[in-house]
Amino acid sequence: MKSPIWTNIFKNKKSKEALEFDAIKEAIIFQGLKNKDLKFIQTMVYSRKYKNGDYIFKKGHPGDGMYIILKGEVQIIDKNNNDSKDILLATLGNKDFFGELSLLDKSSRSASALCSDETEALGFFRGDLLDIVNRKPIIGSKIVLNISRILAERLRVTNNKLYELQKNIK
Amino acid sequence: MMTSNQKFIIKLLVYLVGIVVLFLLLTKLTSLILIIVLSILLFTMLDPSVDKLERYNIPRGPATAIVILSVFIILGGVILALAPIVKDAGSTIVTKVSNNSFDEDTFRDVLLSVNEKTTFYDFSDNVDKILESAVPKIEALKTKLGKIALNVTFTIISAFGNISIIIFITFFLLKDERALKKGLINLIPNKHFELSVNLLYKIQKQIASYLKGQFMAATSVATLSIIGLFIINTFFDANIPYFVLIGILAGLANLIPYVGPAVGMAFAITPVVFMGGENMGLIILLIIISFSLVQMIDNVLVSPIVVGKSVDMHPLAVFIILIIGGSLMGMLGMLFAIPTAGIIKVTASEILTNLPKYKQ
Repeated sequence: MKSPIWTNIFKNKKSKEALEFDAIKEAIIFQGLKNKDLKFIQTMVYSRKYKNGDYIFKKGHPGDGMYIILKGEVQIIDKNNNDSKDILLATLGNKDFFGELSLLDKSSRSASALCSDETEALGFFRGDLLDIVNRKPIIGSKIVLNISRILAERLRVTNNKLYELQKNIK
Repeated sequence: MMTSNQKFIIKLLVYLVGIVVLFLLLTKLTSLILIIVLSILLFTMLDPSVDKLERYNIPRGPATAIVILSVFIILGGVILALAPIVKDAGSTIVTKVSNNSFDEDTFRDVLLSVNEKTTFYDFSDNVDKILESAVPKIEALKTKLGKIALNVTFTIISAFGNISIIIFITFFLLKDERALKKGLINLIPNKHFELSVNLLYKIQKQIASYLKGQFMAATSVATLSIIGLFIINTFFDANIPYFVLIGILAGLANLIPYVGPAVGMAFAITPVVFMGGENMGLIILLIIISFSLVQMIDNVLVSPIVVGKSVDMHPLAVFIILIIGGSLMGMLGMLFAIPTAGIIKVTASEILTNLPKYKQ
């Protein structure tokens, strides 16, 4: 066994910047971007820390941007129309992202994002996306194309579910 | 335990003390604040150019250096072009004052000849009264001339110093724009994070749109003024010197609404007055007519389309804001009154519209 005195204990500990970079690299909306472009994106995102039980946003808040989880856990919840109880829609962990639709339109948040652990997340906002489209159109168009792919995939899933439902009703 | 009323009173007192301290600091640090405000405005003005260069894959640092260098070249060009005019005007004033050519009789002759050419108003009876008040002032001016020259020199040197500081700050604002914005946003608690990001973006957009509108209006006023002065020079043999430069200065002066046009006109009239000549009155009249026409075109066609849209304010509101700006900080106050009011308007509207939604 190696002695901790003679081993570089920081060797495998990634810096915060490296963690941020990895999270951005793995987010689908930034797929296909070169490392140089990802570094540029890194200058546009905001790192935030949340305590367990903090809301990142609540349902009905104006939707202005998306978040990538760096560390921790976030629950996407909605209220039941009948008894106003919270319904858990999804539990998201490291490098997962949410709220990406608000990069495209100004509609309010359709669900709440609640931290179920000490969480660190990167925020990326519509204003910055528009800024990228203006400053670096090639990067901007790649991001918009990736968001379109996500939307197309969701539409496909929704269509399939609708089809299944219609079939069941018949 | 404190009651809610006591808590409210303490909170109110803290806010009041804060406002008083802030006000005291602001009055003490006016020049520093002015430098920072000017740097931010210059940054907003130059930011689109740096962004454009970034589009051609030029990294932010070199792109900023190119833009700042261009500013230096343009500024240098303007100074080189202005230097002979300032030198000529300065030496004319010095020569005239020190040669006693402003003596009472010459001054009376000038006033009487102006009166003769002025058909709509006769002030021949008041010439003595005007002389009585003006001559002692000119005499006093003669003795103060050396002091004034020294003051002007110091003002120019300090202006150059301030311009250098402004450009230095602007360089770093442009280069490290993102890092500075991130640093600022990091200070804001999570509760108001999204609102602040959105607000900052809207403020930047508002200033950029205002400056773009102003730049377009100034360009149009400058072009039209140059055309007007060129026509006066060509068809009325006026020989107005440096008319292109005068046109550009008139365009720049137009950035200050209401006062700017008069200042622009003064730029054109001053050299004509210094040159004198037989048809001086006619040329001054033509300058007034041409600049009024330029203003009419600007007010009827250009401003409502480009500037009006950018600030989205009622003309009466603009007028009142300008008076407030002017009474607080003079000409500079008038220059910054509208963009400042624009920022306040965007902030208030964003907070009033979106803050209740975030409190849900």
